[in-house]
Amino acid sequence: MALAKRRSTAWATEINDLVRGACGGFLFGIPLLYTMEVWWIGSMAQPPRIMMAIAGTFIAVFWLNRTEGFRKTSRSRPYDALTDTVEAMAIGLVCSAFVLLLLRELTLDVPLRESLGKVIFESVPFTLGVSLANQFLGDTRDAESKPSDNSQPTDHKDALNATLADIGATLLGAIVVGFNISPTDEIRTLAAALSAPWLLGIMAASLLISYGIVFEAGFSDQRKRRQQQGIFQRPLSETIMSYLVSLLAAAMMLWFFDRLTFSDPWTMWLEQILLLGLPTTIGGAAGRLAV
Amino acid sequence: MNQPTQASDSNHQPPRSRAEWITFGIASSLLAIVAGLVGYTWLDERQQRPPILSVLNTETIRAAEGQFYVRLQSPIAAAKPQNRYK
Repeated sequence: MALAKRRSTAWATEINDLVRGACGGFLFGIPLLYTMEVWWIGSMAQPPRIMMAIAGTFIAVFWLNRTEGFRKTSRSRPYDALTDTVEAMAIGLVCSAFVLLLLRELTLDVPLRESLGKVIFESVPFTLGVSLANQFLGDTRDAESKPSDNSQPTDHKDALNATLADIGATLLGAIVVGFNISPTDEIRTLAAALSAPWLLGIMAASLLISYGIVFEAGFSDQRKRRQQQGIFQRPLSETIMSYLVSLLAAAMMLWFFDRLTFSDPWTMWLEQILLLGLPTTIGGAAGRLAV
Repeated sequence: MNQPTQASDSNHQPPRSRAEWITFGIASSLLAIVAGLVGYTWLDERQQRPPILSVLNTETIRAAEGQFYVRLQSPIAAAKPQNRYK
């Protein structure tokens, strides 16, 4: 019984580490996933250059893992940094391939060499983000056992203020990330290739990643977030509320940069808002942790 | 000793759990497959061919309400109807 419990704890810790790594990757890598030049460079890259990208990333991530990393447990042995580097690269490759699949930049029609180039070049910032996961927004390695002073019940006014602060933080984070992407042509290019099921997939991924970053990854203030009082303060309702706020921010930015006008059909609005909604939701999640 | 989360002390290095070994095994095989595929495309000359990027302009350009409409076909898409005439 004790052995089974220990095993399940080990798996829970491992999954938590992997989720934290993936969330760090998304925070760092998502702006580059919406950069078509990187897709092109990946498509055109020759195998020796792709090999160089793998080797270069491996060395950089190895040195990052010597000091930081994505695990709660800090280990200082070079051997552990080596194994963590292999895992960080695998997380980076899987996550970037997943987003490229969602964005229809990776399909069965794309030749093998092009697919490899795209995934590997896009995985470079992702993998760096994985190995910097503990650095992003601090980590809770030492804060787990500290009692929080936010557990006192708050009155209705405080709850409203907390909710408004969350909405503001989400908007701020969403705008910071969205401003990098909304003026570019990538949103239009990607929207042209997407059908309804893929848009639903993007919505699901946005919600899942946002929930993971705020409530599962173990970044700083996660405990505070779970204890914070407010109208939408339950994890699921907060995730949905922040997604809607991020979509609103995406719509505002697309209109601000004249990417969308009121004479455009509503389907165009929907497609582009949902597409930009993925990075703005990730930015919004980071904003709520930072503020 | 088997509590990995309590290992903040640098003198105490906990052993890797079975879960960590399994994920490391999956991660290393994934990385090996990707590196192997890149090596395969490097050695296989057929994969080195540049992609066909030429397009065929099969219809005339028409203008309507200040917008120009250009219908373009890629050689791959055009190949099927051409075969039918052979």
